[in-house]
Amino acid sequence: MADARASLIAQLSTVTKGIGDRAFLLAVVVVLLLVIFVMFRALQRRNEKLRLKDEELELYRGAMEAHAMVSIVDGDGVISYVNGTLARATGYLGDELIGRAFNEVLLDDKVGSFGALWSKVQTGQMWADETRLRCKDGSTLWTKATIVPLMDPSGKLARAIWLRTDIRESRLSQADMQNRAMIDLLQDEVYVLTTDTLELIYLNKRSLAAMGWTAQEMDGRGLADIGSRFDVSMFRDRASDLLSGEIDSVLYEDMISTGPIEVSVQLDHSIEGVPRFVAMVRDISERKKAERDKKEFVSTVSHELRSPLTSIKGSLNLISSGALGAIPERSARLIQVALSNVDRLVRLINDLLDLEKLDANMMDFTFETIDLVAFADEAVAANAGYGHEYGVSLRRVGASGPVYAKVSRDGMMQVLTNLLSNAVKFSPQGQAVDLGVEETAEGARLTVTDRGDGIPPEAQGTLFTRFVQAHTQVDARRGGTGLGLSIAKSIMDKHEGKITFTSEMGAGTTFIIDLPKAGNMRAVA
Amino acid sequence: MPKLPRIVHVEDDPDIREIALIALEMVGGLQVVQFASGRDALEGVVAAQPDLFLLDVMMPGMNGEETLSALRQMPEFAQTPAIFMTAKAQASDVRKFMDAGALEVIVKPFDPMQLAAQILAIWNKWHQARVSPDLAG
Repeated sequence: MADARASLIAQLSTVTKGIGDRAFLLAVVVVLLLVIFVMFRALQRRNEKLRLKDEELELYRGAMEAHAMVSIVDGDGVISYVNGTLARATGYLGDELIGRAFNEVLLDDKVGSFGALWSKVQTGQMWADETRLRCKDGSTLWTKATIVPLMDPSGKLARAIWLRTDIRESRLSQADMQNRAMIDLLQDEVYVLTTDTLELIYLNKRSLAAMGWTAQEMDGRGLADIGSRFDVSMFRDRASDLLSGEIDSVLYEDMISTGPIEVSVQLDHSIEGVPRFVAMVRDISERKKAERDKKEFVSTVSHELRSPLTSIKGSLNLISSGALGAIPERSARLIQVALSNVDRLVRLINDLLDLEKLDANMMDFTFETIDLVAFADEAVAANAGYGHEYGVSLRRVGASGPVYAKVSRDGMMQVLTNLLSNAVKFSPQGQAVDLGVEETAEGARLTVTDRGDGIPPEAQGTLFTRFVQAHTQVDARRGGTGLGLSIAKSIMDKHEGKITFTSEMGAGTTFIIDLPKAGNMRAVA
Repeated sequence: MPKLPRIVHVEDDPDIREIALIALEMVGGLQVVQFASGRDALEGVVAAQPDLFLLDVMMPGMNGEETLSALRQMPEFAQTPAIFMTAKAQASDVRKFMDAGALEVIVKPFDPMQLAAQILAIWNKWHQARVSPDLAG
């Protein structure tokens, strides 16, 4: 009985132990399952986070690609990646930039040199500033740039990401605002117009005030709406020469209701290469008045100086002629001294007035195409008498056929008379003065050659300077004013010609006048 | 040869008037009536009965051109030849004076010993042109 109990107990114990082991195992399994589940969930969450992060990164990259110019360079600065935005902005195909050193397309205008920038990046420091990119077509592109270096484990620069944004607009508007502020300060009216429809693009403050408009009231208007300032057909006519590229600027005068104006027109391409007319209108009433006053002054001085000289010269001439009775010989000599000095004074006044008129553009120049050979014959005939006084003959040499040039007859005769009379004065008695005419590749050449003593080297540099004479005493004695060559040079300038000379001491001097071909002269005022 | 012309000379400067008078009358043997202004000339010109006018250009009041224009309004002097005397010798001035009706322009300062001869040459040329226009050139 006892054994049976013990056996039962043993059996029960074994059963109970078996039951306990299974429960334990079960519990372990459950716990393991729970751990696996938790880990799985954690992994799931992590994966979800990573997926979201990847999505964010992709979104961020997409936004960056769309917004910024992105490029990646290796440790040597060689481009390995260029995004479409950068390629488009610089006008390159992406492939064209790969493998090229970035500094080939970077205009490092602000950081001093590419080297300085790059050495900073190579130490692992980020760099950010405004720089200009050089585009494929040569134009420049203002960008705000950030360079992010990526270092390898050894601390060497492995790659650098360049991020850029286009700041052209903001810079342009800034520059535009500065320009406009400056243009508004001008006393001249400034009008900017399209070249095809002559639509108004911009008016400065002065021109808006002249029109009585606000800036908004200018919108949609054209040149025809400012007819009080511009004659439209005249403007079109003058400005068309700019479009053909023949000339850089046009300047013309016009008369409007407020008085005389000067209009200056230029073609501008500075904004995105689009041509625009920039017209400046200047009130020239004051200038015109000053010109009139000067003309009046010259006229008055001319009259006021010549009238007393007429009396003095006339009186001396009458006395010295004996028409009023005989005069003692000594008095006669003194009267001759007075007369020759009056003549000199008359020449001086004439020369001074000529210079004044030349300086003020008041000298009459009517240009016409003439045969210089026939003209030179006239000049020789007109000055032969003067040569005769000095025992010097005048000859016309050179071309036998006609040589044409566009000249002012009065102006050219004045120049030739001056040169011939100088040549006569400084020629030895019995010698000849030659007036030569020849055709040249550039046009025509006139030469006046004497066989005098020549011009001293020290006087040659200032020969065309006013009141400078090579032979001061001789020239003064022979009636020179020291202004003749200066006048001759000014007249030649009006002809777009040149006056030069060659001289050899003891052998003589040749003055050379070179004139452009008849058709090559620009319009002369 | 045409007869010597009787000249009306209008000049505001008394010194130049005197010199011109000597030059024309004493040296040149011409008859001259002088006036100091265009206005005086208009008043006295009929009595003077001139064949030729010698007019200074720059005068106070009426200048030479205005004086000639006023004289031309008088039928008896509508065709009377006129010579201007002036210190303004620019080609454009000379052209302007010729356009205003001047036969010739004598530039100041003039040579009194040559003045009468100069005027007679102009007068003879004008006279010749009237009697035989083809020969006048």
